[in-house]
Formats: sequence, structure tokens, C-alpha cells
Amino acid sequence: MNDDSKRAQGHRASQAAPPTDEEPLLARLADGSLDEPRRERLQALAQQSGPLRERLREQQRALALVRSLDMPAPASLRAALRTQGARSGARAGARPWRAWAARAPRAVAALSLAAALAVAAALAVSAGRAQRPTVLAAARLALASARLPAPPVDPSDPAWLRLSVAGIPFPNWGATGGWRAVGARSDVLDGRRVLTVFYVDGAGERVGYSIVAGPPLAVPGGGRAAALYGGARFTIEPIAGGRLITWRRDGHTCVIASRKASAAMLLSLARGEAPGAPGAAALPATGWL
Amino acid sequence: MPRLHPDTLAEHLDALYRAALLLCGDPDEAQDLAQETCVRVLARPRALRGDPRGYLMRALRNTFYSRLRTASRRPQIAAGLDDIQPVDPRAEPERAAEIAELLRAIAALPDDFRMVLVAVDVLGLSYAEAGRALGALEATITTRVYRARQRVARALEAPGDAAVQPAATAPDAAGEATAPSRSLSRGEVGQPR
Repeated sequence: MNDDSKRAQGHRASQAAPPTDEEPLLARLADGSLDEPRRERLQALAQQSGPLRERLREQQRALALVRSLDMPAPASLRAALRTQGARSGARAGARPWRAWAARAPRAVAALSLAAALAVAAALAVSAGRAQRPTVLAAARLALASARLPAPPVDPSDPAWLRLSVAGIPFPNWGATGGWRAVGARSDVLDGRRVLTVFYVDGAGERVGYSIVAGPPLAVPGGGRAAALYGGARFTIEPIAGGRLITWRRDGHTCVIASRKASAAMLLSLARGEAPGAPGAAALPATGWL
Repeated sequence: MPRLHPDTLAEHLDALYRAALLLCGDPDEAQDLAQETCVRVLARPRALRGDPRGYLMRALRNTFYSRLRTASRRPQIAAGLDDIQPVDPRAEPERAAEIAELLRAIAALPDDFRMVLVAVDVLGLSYAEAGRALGALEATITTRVYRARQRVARALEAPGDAAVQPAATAPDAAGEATAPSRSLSRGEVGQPR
């Protein structure tokens, strides 16, 4: 290729491609927000240049994909907003919510929990048409982040926390097991209340312990690891990003899930909750099934 | 001047949730983030003129960074990109996989790019509104939107391709206009104003 042809090629390229500082305008061309003069010029340039057309197509493709995300807000989020809105509206005539919140953060947390439970109770009324949640869905809550402060220890029995579902309390592993409660959350899963307490050990390992209100959920089976201890059947299930263990307490489904805790650790924690005793040592092990 | 009413907030809740989902990449985290944003917005009633989406974007961004800052102080196991799962397991498997791929691609974007994508493509702010909400020049927003979409499109063409890398390791050929006074960074945290 001689110098003249190189120069000609370079000239054509400079005509076909926009100046570098205008290339980002392809984003606005793709979503229709570019003003008329620049739109026409950029469109003409894109027609002349293959690479530019491809970059424009990339913009259009990504934009279409992002806009195709049509997931609505979960019903529980909408219900929480209604509750929050009603509360803030009711307090508007009293004193500023902000100042009140600054003075009483614990009361705010307690109120949030109470509101969440009220919403859950209201939704439970329509449970007749609700679908049965899955153990896997409950495990996802156990892997999620805390929304509420950790419940306090029950002063009448330090082996338990002062938070329960249908009379079934959460354990206090802080005193003996080295796992302290660091937070909690309350969710409504397909019309059922699910309370979760999160525990962290000294190494920063984290587990979530969920108790599901209502009748027990179907326990995963089909060759998955299961064990019997003290008359309770524990099933361990690998899940994306971790594993869960599930069993029943007084007919209610319990789930402990963690991203890193071993199956043995989960079993050890869950065994502490087997019927009859809070301490794992008292439970006769019948071994793996 | 009218204040942001809960009903008005409810009208934007779907978009707010989707925006949170794109920022977090996890449905549960997104629900937490959206809920906390609503709580903050309602706790600090502010007179608003016209469309509240710019204000919501600022509140969402501040809440997001506030949560990041809090999370970095407490021991926890952060979710990695491999942990991002299809949003709705009841959805069509192929669609669920598409959504998961898209969320992964967006999660791999630098924070600044993810923010503008959320502001412009999810909340539907104009480039000027996004600039005001995020404290950046309109030209900066344009460049970031362009780069963000480009990376997402390329990542979905070839998952795992080097195109999906933080800005520091994949500098933009076109460069980026910068705001004279402030640019978006994790250091900019605070309450919605």
C-alpha cells in the first residue's frame, strides 16, 4: 500500500468515525434523547461506519435488556411501605418523626418489628389462597441481611432469646456455643410469617436461623443427607452459595442456612434445638440415614 | 408546596425496587435497600416540586453507600458474583437465566457506571436530572451510560470476557468528562436532602 492510498484510507476512516469525544453520544442516540442536529449527523456517521453501527447496536441491546426487567416490587415490600406511610402520616401532627426517631432508636426498631408482625398477621388471614412457601425460599431469608436488631436474651431462661414464633423461641447460643445473636428480620413468605435471627461466631462466620409460621413445609428428600437425633429428622441440602439444614420443632419448619458453615457445624447447631432438650449432648444420636 | 406522599412513593416502588436490585444484584438485599430508602424518605419529609425520581435516586444512592459503609464495619460474608441467582425461581428457566446473567453483568460494573445505568435506564431520569441527582456533569453521565451499556452488552455476548472489568483495569478509550466540584465516590455518603 503506497502513501497515497494510506492517506485516502485514513481520510475515509476519519469521515466514518466520529470524534472520540462524541462517541458516548451513541448512548443518547440509542435512547432517543439526542437533539435533532446531532442525531442526524451521528446517524449518518453510523450508517457509514461498520464499527460505529456495532457500537450503536450494543447500546440498543443493553438498553433493551435493562428495560425488559419488569420485576415488580414484592408484596411484602409494598405492605411494609403502606405500614410505614400510615405510621409517618399519623405522627405528622404530633412531633417530627425524625426527632422522635433520634431519641428512641430502640423504640423505632421495636415498632418496626411490631409493624412487620402486624402486616404478617393481616396477610395470614388470607392464607387460604396463599401458596406454600418452600424450604429453599426460607433459606434465602436466612442468608439475607438483618433488618432488625438482635432480640434480647430471655431473662427468665438465658438459654433462649426473647423472640418466638408460635411459642417456639430462638436459642441463645451466646452463652455456651460462642454464637451471638447479631440481628433479626421479619418477612412474609407467601402469606406466612418467617422470623429469622442471625448469629455470628468469634471467627465472623454467620448463620441465619428461620422459623416458619403455620404448618410444616415439605422437607426436601430424594437422597439428600439426613440424620435422626432425638426423634427429629434433620435434612441437609446444598444450595447456591452455601447449605441449609432443616427440621421441625413442635410441627414448625426451622431452617438454618450459612454460606460457609460446614454440614457438621449446621447439624451441631440444629441438634441443640431437637425436641426434649436445648443441649446437644443430651440427645441420643441415631446416625445418618 | 406538596410533600412526598406515601402514595406517590408507592407509585414509584416498582422502579425503586428494580433500581435497588441492579445496585445490589440480590433480591433480598434489594428489598432491604428499597425499604430502608423508603423509611429514610418518609422519615424526613421534604417539599418537592414536580417529579420525585431525582430525589429518590439521591436517597437510594445515599442509602446504598451507607449500607456498604455499615456492612464493611461488621463481620459478614459478602455475596460474590457466583451467588447471584435468578430472581424468580417460578419464572421460565430461560428467562430466569437471562435475568441472572444480566444482573451479573451489571454487578461487575464499577459503582459509578451502575449508578448512572440505574438513574437513566431504570428510573428514567434525563441525563441532566441524573447529573443533578448524582452530582456529576451531564457529559459525564452520558459517557458513563455509554460505557456501562457497552460493557453490559459485551459481557452478555461473551460471559467472562475481559470487557467486564473495573474501570481501573480497563480504561476507556473515549475518556470521561469529570465534574469540576465533586464526583461520585464511596466517600460521598449522607442523608437524602
